[in-house]
Amino acid sequence: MPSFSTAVDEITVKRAQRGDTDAMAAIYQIFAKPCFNLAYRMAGSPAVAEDIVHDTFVKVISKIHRFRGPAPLWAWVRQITVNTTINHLNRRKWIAPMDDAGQIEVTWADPVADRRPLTEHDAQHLLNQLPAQARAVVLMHDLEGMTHKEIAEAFGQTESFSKSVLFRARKQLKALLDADGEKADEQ
Amino acid sequence: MSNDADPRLTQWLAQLPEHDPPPQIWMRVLETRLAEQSTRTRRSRLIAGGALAATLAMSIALGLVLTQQPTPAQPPTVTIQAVPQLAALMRRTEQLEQALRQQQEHFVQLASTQQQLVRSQQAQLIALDQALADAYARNLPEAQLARLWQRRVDLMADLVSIYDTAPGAGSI
Repeated sequence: MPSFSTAVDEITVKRAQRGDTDAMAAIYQIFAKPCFNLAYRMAGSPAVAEDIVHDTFVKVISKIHRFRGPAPLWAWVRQITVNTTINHLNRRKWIAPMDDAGQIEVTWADPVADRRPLTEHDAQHLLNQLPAQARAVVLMHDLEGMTHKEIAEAFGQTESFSKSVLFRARKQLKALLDADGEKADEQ
Repeated sequence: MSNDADPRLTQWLAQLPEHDPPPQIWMRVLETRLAEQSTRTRRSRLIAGGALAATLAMSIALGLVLTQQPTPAQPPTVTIQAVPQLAALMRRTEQLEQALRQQQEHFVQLASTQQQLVRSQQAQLIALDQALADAYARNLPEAQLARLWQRRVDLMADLVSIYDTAPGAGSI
């Protein structure tokens, strides 16, 4: 179940659209945690995640007057979170550009994630072993339930790009899980 | 390529630790929002002020041109030669004002030295508009009016070039 999927009542949304700060704060209270967790998992760093939450909610409150249904507010906030996170990853050059053959250059683990202390059987740590882009795609698809079309749009790529990155990310993650399991068995 | 995740992976992802965001983020969001709003208000005032000054100067100039329709006492050659020059300068200043408005609407971020320069140019612009209004009130010769209008064109061009050279202005 997507972590964002909490309904916000229409009155609160309308109040926020009229500039009511209390309503905006209520929306922040609902979505700050899923936003922070998705950003943390995608970026692999709490400090970067904090900046992403900040930038996301600056956009949310400045653009909420433009929000229109029928899509729920949580999907809209999640989209802004994902786009903001991808922008941050691009700015930090954690997402490598595609080469001429359309293949993604795989850069293992970003600098911040590398500095995180190792914790045995820590799922987040294992996830951080993936390249930033692969990590983002697997989280967007397998955790948030986003479609390949949505993922492709967020990265400005095709659906086959999303499918290909997901396939390789799962394969890498599975290999990491196996290696981690073997290490645990040895101990 | 299978679209189904390995159940172990799904379970893994479900076990990812949950973190609470640091409490200070919302305050930072509000501060940023407030800063953006005050910047926008300041810009709107500057645009409105500039537009008002230009409209005032244009109205005075137009009024003068209309009241100076050829009369038997006036040599027609002076009006024919001088008014087009003034009109061209007025048109140019209007074009530059439009360019400046577009730049300001794109919220180009200026460096602090550029902001100081903009403030100084705007102060000069206000003084110049006052001088123009005085010149029309005193019915000064068109050559003098042209000099003032030329000065206004130069000031506006300087302002536009400040925004043109601002960091990130190229992305507009």
